[in-house]
Amino acid sequence: MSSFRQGQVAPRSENIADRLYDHVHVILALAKREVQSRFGQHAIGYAWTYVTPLAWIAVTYVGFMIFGRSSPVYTDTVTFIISGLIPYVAFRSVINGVGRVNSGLRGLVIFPSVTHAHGTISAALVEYVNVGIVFVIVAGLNLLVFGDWELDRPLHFLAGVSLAWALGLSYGYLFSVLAQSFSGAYPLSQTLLRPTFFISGVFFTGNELPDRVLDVLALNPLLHAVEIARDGMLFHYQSRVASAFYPLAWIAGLLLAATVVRSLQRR
Amino acid sequence: MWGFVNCTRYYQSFGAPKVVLHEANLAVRTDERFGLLVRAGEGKSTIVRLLAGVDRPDEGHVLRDEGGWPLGYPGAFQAQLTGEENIVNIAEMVGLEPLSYSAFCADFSELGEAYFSPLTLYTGRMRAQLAFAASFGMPATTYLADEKLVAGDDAFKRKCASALKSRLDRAGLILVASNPKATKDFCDRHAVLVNGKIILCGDHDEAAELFAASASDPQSDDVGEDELASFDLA
Repeated sequence: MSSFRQGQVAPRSENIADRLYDHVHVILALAKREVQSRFGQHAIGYAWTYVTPLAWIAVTYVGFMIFGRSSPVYTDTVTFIISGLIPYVAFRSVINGVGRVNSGLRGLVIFPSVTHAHGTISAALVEYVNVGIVFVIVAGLNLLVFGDWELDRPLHFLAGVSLAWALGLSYGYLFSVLAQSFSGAYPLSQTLLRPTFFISGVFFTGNELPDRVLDVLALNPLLHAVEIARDGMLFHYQSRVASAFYPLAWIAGLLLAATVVRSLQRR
Repeated sequence: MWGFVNCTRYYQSFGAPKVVLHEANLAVRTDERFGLLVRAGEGKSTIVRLLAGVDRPDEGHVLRDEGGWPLGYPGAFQAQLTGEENIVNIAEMVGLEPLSYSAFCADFSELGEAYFSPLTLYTGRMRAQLAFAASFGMPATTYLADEKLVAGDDAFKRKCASALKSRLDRAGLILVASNPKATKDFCDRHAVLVNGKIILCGDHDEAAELFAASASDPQSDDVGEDELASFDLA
């Protein structure tokens, strides 16, 4: 960081470590700005961040009760819902966060040090932390209220949630880049996502699907991420469909597509 | 270097396209004091936004230097944050030492305790004072100004003018204004926007003359052809 002298521009360091430090500094500053903005002047302001995912979980639980559905796996209903919804929340919230980058950065593009990539990484990190907090809240409530707690292989669960998050990040980034040239890109991205809530294994497991249906739904990379997370969370579930390579290939493909679009825009 | 290369920018106004720039060219050195006269409603803010990178041209390229800073620019502020939080955040993004920069802005803006209140509670004048403080505290190499070079009450205006003169010893200025008097005091080189083209003029008087001629009959193509022929197309 340069020392402050009016009217003098700090020389830009050529050292790679220094430049990396500068990038990290900008990303953290943007993340801090995002968090402070959501907080406003009251800590309760940030609570709204968790209202939507908590409402999803509550509505799903009520839906299970109304339709008399119970967990298809040997576990309690809330834990089953959490195992599917947490990776889904990771996927959706990062898409929404990255989708706000273009408008959020509009006033900041005058800073040469702040780029679209900084904004994207910052938004994605904030959402990743938020998902962790949502998990702690709902899993904690489940333990406190119902006395239920289940986390078979934490790292496996984390991998599934992280895959879902990375899928959302790459998808959101592609459409965020596209939105810089086509105003309809963001609404299109939201429309395309609508069925994902119903076809990504949030309410059901891959194992209970007929083979024909599974052959089709397994084309959805988010289903694999959800199944990996569920596999990691539940003691009595071992997915027959979960593959990390498939969503990873999607993530690579989406990021590559975003990079190509970005280079075309620069030309 | 600042400027435009074959730059075209238009926007829709009441369903009809309004041309701000049409294949316009301009080159301004980083340390130059350049005044561009643009009639009110003809795209002053759009031109500054293009130079600042906030807006993009429909065609062509915008030349931008790294050390540019729009004077009195409030666009980087978040209304939910306090003045102090905004300033510290800007310092962190730009790579300045936050405490020193914040101390300068708190002192220059003369906001007192309001500096620690959220911007949602600020009046327009308070926001402008904070924005000008942020600008003058920024180590800019070129200031970009949309008409206003000063803000606030008379005392604060004098303070801004003094600070600007001091900064311009080392920094450049691109002032886009609709009032020829504004460019007279602070600019060394002058130009006028006519029919989407930037016309370079020999001095301020020449610019003011061309500006008056184009303003008296804004729809006349005569201004764009015969009269422009005697001026230097940038």
